[in-house]
Amino acid sequence: MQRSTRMSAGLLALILGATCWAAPYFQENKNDNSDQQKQSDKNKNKNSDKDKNNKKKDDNSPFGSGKVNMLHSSHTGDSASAGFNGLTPNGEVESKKLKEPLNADDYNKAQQVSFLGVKNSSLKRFIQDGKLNTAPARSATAAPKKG
Amino acid sequence: MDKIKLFFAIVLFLSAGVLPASAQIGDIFNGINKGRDIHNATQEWTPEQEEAVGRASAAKMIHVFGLYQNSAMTNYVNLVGDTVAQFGTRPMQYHFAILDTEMVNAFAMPGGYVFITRGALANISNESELAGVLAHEVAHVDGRHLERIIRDKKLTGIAVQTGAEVGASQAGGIAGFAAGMVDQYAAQAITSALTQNYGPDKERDADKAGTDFAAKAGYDPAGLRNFLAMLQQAASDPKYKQATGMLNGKTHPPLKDRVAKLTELSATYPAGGQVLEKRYLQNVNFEAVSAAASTTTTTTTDKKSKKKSSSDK
Repeated sequence: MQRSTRMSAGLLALILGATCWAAPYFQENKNDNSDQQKQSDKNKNKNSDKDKNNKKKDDNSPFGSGKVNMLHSSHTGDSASAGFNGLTPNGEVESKKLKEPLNADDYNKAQQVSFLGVKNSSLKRFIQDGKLNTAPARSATAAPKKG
Repeated sequence: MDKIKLFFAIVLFLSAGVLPASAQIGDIFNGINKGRDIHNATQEWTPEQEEAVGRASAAKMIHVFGLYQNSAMTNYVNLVGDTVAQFGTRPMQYHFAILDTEMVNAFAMPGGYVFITRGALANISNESELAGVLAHEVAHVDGRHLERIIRDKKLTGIAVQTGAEVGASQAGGIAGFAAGMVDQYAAQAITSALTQNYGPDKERDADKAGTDFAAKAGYDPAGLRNFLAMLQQAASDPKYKQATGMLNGKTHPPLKDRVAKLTELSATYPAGGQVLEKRYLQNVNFEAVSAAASTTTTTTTDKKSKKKSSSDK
């Protein structure tokens, strides 16, 4: 009798321990499931929005006759197809390019871009030459120009 | 025997109580984390945080499309951009750069990083159109549009890792941002700008504010309108699908609607704004660049050379 009682007590203690251990995981899973549910609901909504957009796009076909001749900024015949960097033939961004890891050259070029700006004196001259306007209040609080 | 009963009673009582209690403790921790996330998501980024996300986003844009490195043309784009950016509501340094692709588009990243494509420059007719396009992008930065999209995503708990990798992070440890967050935000910024809907409201706001900045700077307020009207026509031709695909309803409201609204809006400004066609064509001339780069280059028809004869407004 005592032995079976001990075994029962041990079993119960084991269940209790397992319950304590598993409780946070149950909680986490519950959250994950509800997140996944939300995500899938969102995707469903997105898809239906996309369908709506596509229908809308069809309805709103541009009125133009397409007489515009768009110009190319590259002039070599052999570079024409390479001219649309980062795009699929449908004009969408290449997902492969988006997923590629960045390299040091990308960061260096971004740094170069971060130094781009014009001197206040050049801007002033440019504005005067074009008979454009300066914003007086803005120039007093403007961030200092580089260079 | 009583002791055994008591023992079982205690064990049963504890097992009944521990599960909900541990769940409650989990809830408390989740609540604390959520509270912190909400606090972070509702806080505007500091200039340092904005700059860090902007620079990381710029690196990604450059990776995808390439950077067109022509110092004279880039300087001109910066002069026009800074002329309209003077009228923004936030004092900040803008950086305007040219992406090396034939696609016709422009993008604004946080921190004042604004990109226009080679394809857009080749199809812009005058400086007022360029000013209108750049002012539209400045308005996105000025209104913190991408930043808000990212913060809203975080707030609603639907921020999605887009598959854009964190990569060899050079950023991180920016005050208030955990390491790696800069790259994650940059990935979200790029995804929002390139593949998801910006939101028609934000585009309309940027059209309106951009037209206002350009008009205040002294440009013809119809610059953006005229450029979009040209694109609207081009978009109807399948042969320009690659060039105009991204602008036609996916990341922006339909061009037809935008042109109609901009036509109304630009009519509310006084006439007499500068168009500056001649100055634009003097500074943006791909034929000249191409000829300078290689004497063996075979040039194709370039209408811009014909336009050179026309005078400024």
